[in-house]
Amino acid sequence: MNQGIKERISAMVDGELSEFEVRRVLEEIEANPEFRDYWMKLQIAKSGLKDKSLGYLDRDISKRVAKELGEHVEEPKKAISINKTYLSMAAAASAGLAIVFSFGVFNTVDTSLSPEELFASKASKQIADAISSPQAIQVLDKALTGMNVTLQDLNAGKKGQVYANYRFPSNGKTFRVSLSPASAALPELRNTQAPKLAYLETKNGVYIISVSGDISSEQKSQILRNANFSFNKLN
Amino acid sequence: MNAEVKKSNKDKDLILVRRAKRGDYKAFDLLVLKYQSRIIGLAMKFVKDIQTAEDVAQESFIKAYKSLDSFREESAFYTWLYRIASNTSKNYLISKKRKNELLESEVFSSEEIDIFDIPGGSSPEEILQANNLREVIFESLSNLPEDIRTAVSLREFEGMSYEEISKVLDCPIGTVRSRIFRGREIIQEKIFPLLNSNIELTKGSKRI
Repeated sequence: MNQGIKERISAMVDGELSEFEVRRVLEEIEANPEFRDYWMKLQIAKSGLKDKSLGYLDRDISKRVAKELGEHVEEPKKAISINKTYLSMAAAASAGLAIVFSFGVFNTVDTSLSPEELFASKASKQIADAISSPQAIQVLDKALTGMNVTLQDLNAGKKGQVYANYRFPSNGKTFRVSLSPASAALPELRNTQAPKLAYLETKNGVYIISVSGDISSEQKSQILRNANFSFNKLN
Repeated sequence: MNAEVKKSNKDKDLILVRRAKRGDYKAFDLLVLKYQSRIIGLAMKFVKDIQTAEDVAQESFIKAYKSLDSFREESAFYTWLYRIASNTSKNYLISKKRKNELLESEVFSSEEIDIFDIPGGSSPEEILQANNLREVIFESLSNLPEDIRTAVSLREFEGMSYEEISKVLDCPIGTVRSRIFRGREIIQEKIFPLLNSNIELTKGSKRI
């Protein structure tokens, strides 16, 4: 995307454009719907910085509103591509996971590996260290049994969370399975009125399991069933 | 935040609103994208059901668009939109109550509504995603180069205009604009995988 236009969109978010510039940007957005997406993502990032309503970030009613008003908003012709650096990291992390599962070794980094493989190994170790429990990784693997999906990447959160992003090769849709140590998740969850939680008990503690993304409720249920989840409110 | 700064922020939607008033739906669409999550969050405070909250939010935006001419620009656009959404939510509850389908809500009597927290009706998945995203955003912010981080922080946390930031940092407004943009680009790059995997923003598909 054109950096100059993106910079103007950024300034428009802050109300710092003249009317003339706004008109130009609106024309650009109309011509290229990816700029509309950029505007929306800037709003999400701003909300995150200001702690506003991130719980509903995935809710997009804009097209419904437009339709009711007899208007139409253009969608990008293709999904925005993930940058190459990220893809490289994702591929490396996936490779790292394969290494981990193949050899069952979490603490070994082979210095004879290529830089990419070395990164993969380090990524795997970081993930393993983060959750401190091979069982949790196995849960991720087991949860996807029979679903014909491809692991895109794994990430570890600061508080021991594990995020695994998957993709259906058949239709390109993506989703995420997250494992969060209860110690990290509960302070927030206690404040909710959610009557049920999906969690997994391991020798190393309790993990809250969640599945999100472009995936049907049936598939979500299947993943949670595979992971041997239980439905109970944690105290 | 001083009064001058508040004033500078008050009208930042005004150009878009005025264009929408003149029938430019693209401008109104950007306002919907900007405020939809907050309006849905507000509606959730009342109706406690996400599908209903989306319906109420949708109705609120439609009402707002149809009555844009009545927006006198005496308050911020969001304040005006907030009132519409609040009234729409209350009307929905009244309607339900009349039909004896819903008991009186404790929210109904509340005058002060905190719309900036994660509403109690959020699912565990939504809360976890929100926390994950927020964590990445703040980590990205803390790792920004000093000059960029300062510009972004003054804008986002102090609510300063670009002109005010330029005075504080003693640099041209164009530099401020560029720094804020670069900071956002870096943050966007970090959160992109999260957004891409969690939601299909562009396709409007429904997540569970």
